[in-house]
Amino acid sequence: VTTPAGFDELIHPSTRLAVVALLAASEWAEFAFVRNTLELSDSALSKQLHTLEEAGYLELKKEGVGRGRRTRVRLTRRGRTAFDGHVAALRAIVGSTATPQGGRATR
Amino acid sequence: LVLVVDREQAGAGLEQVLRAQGQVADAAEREVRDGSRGERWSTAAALWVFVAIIGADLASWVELVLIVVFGAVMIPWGVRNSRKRKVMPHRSQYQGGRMMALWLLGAGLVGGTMLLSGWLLGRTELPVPSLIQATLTTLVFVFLSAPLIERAVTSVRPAGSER
Repeated sequence: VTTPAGFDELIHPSTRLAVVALLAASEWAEFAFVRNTLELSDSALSKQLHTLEEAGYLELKKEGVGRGRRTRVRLTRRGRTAFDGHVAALRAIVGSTATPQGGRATR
Repeated sequence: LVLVVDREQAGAGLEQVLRAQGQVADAAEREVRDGSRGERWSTAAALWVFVAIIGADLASWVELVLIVVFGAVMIPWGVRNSRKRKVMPHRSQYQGGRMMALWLLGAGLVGGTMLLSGWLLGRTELPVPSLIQATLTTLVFVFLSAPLIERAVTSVRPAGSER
């Protein structure tokens, strides 16, 4: 039982992995979409995003004004590379050849 | 502190990744399905007006100006609509070849109908040929091209997965 190269301890915690996985499948996503999809509170998601932003894994962009104000989140290249490495490490641990890109999403 | 991850935990992590991909694909499909009807009819209206005007006997430079104006209006409008979306699937999630083929087929049908109907109507004595040309082109757009283009936009399921 080891942690192979590419395994990212910052991404691995369940909630953070869910956030990064969602963003990895997106060019960008709205804060509200991530929050609702993962059933998180505003503060819980903000905390995770802040941690990932500090690590340079994602960037937040605020758009619009007033009620139309929206926050978009996107993974940076660094974040995407870290995520790919982490997925490769998880696959190595599982010893599976199945790839997320070719697999069936669990509903 | 050394983090130890066993196969079960790693498997759960991979499941989470798969689930996220499915959630983004589902959301993208839902957004296109829910938002496309209004966009389809407003695009159809703009297309009808454009073809009706350009199908009239106009000078070449006027036609050119109209094409530029149509593009200058429709492209930012499309970009604005795409910005209303809550999530944009990553390019790696698209089935690129299928999407491109559907796009080209949809655009080709509209362009082909416009040119062919214009050519055929030019050889007849029918009244208001440009309005007939506009109506035919718009009908093809609404009932053939738009559904194809919507399918192209929603072909975001990772290749190899079941729909």
